[in-house]
Amino acid sequence: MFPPDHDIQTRRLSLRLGLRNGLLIGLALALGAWVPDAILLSTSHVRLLYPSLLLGCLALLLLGGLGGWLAAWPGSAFASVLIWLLVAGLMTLVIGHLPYEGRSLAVWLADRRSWGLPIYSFSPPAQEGIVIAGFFIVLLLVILGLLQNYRLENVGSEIEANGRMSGHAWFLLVLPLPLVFGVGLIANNLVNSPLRVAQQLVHEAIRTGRTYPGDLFELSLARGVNYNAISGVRDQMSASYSLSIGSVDLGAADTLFVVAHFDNGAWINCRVVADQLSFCYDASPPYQQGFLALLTTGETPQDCPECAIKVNDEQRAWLLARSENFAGSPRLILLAQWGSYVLMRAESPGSGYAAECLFQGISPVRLERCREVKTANPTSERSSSIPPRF
Amino acid sequence: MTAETVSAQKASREVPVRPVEQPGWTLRELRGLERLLGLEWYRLLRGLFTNPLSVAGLFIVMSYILAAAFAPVLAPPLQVAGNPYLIPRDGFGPEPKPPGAVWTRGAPPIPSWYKAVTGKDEWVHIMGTASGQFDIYYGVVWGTRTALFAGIMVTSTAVAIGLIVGSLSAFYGGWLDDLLMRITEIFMAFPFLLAALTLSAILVPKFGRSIWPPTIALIIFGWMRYARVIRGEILSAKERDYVMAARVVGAKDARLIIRHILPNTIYPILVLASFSLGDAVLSFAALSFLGVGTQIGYADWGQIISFARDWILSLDTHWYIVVFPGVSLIIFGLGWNLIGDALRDIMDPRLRGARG
Repeated sequence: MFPPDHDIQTRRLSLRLGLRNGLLIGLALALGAWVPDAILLSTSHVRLLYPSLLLGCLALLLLGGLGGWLAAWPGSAFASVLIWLLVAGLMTLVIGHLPYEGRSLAVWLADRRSWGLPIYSFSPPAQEGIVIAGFFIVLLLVILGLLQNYRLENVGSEIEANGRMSGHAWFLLVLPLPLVFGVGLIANNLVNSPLRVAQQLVHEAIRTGRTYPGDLFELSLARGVNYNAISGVRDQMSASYSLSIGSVDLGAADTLFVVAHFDNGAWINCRVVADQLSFCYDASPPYQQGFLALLTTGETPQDCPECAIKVNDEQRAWLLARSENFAGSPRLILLAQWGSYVLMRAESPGSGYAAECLFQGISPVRLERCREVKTANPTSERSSSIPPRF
Repeated sequence: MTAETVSAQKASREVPVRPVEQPGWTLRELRGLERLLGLEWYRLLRGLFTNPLSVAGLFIVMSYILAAAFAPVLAPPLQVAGNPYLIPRDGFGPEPKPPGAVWTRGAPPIPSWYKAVTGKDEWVHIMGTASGQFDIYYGVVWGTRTALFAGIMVTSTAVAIGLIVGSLSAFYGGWLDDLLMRITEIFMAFPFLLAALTLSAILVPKFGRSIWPPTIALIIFGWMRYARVIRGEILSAKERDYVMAARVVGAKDARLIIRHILPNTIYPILVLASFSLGDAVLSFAALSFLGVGTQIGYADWGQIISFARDWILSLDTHWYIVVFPGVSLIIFGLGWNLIGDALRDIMDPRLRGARG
């Protein structure tokens, strides 16, 4: 026996409203969780800010829509609660891990060479903030799940004869969204604020401190931002730059590194400790002097402590075996920097020989792997059968 | 159409579909807001806006909400980036400065309204400084946000937990009621502030000194009275005729609770919550005063009062450390209590019709 048309229409309406309700909840949570970052960092020249936020928004919209639709399917409050409980848990995971794995995913999609690298590893102390945020998300979404069918009944009764949502129906549908948005803001405060504040501080220090004519120390005292942190690298800075998070350690050290690339080629690392800018320094010595010495002699310069690179014996032997290819003055090119990973290319103009090396870590810098690469010069083209790691 | 059908339709039209008019009563259509909110909620809101006490309470609470919203205008933050809740300090000396003392170092920007209102060019400590040279005015203004956040967060979450526990316990009864009520009693057995203090102290190493340890502690030890009150209300309501009628027509448990019982039993919780909101802020301030709240220098009324601990014997001179944040706290609590009082009057069946 088939259900009457009326029942089918009611069911369709219920599913449609469930989907809308879920999408709106996902959207409100996403807005609360990431709009503060999008606004506050909009002028800070942060690399790949919006792609990672968009990924997060998409994920929450999908989860919300799916949750709302599924919860409307059985029409039972208990099932709805269970579904929203699961959705709330997943949403918490998305919000909590977006600054880490989500950001890594955005980098992977933007640059395929970085695919698979753990660029922004999850910082375990962030778990505590995620747990609190998750508590509020779960509590609110479970209550909304419990009420979903009854709320949607009211909404459905306000739908016009032609099937369109009336103003009152929309009002009833969006009524709980300020609460969801508020919970999103709490999640933002707990999960995203350390990373956002670090980038804001570095941007402010560069923006104001770069051209400030007076004493940076006095300015720091007056404004409460340690502008003096950039005094050692101020001359290298140009007006145009981009920022990215280098590494995150929210544990006892509570330290973040923000990496700034300037259009004149300058490359600065800034250390932010406990929401205070500590100091900025030139990031290039290990990748220039250190790498050059490593290529030609197998050792980093003893008289340059900031050039140090950690290399194991196997890696050193591999490099030494190819050192004659880099005789003269090889050209070192920064191919990419993703978080604490740096991909460098060394070319020997004379022989046309080239190798690409991947480094990891900010302090200390460690050589991860190298490989020979084909160059444009056919006489020096060599096939690379070197294993990806030493 | 047969004659019987016509007469039957005529008879059905003659059945009164409206309540029978009684002497002195008039029937009218529901107006826009009444329709939107429902009669009971409309009566509640109307009562709130016509009762002088609740109007005073609403005025006080609205003033605090506006102060919180316009905190960056009233007291512009020093840091252009970073945490605006950290109170700017005029040095590090222990001796507090009286109201009107001029900023000597690390002064935040002068607010745009300041010159027009005071006619002065010098930015002064409007309410003086506390020990450690924390600016009290800045702390009081930005502390409004902390107070509102803590109050609303603690109360709303505790109400939500209490409603869930109390509803399940009362509606299903039996072993579930026994279990949930014994858990509730275990939580109630702890002295509230002492328990919150202990839990907050345990959470501080885990979460760091922030707004969260005291908030979580106050939620965990604050939901029980809501559970007890709603349980009592539901125990009485679930035997009423309208619940029986809904049950007879096949309403499921969730529908009975959400659609029929809770809307008729939630009002005492609203009264309790409005009283508790002021209490929650006072308890939060007490935890901050005892040193298990926010980090040193965070804009929080309780913490500013705690700066007076070293000057307790000379409060005749350094009265401003206690008076300004203390008065803010008292008036904040008073505002919510006035609203709660008015709500209780409006919802008291014995007073229905007398007010509101």
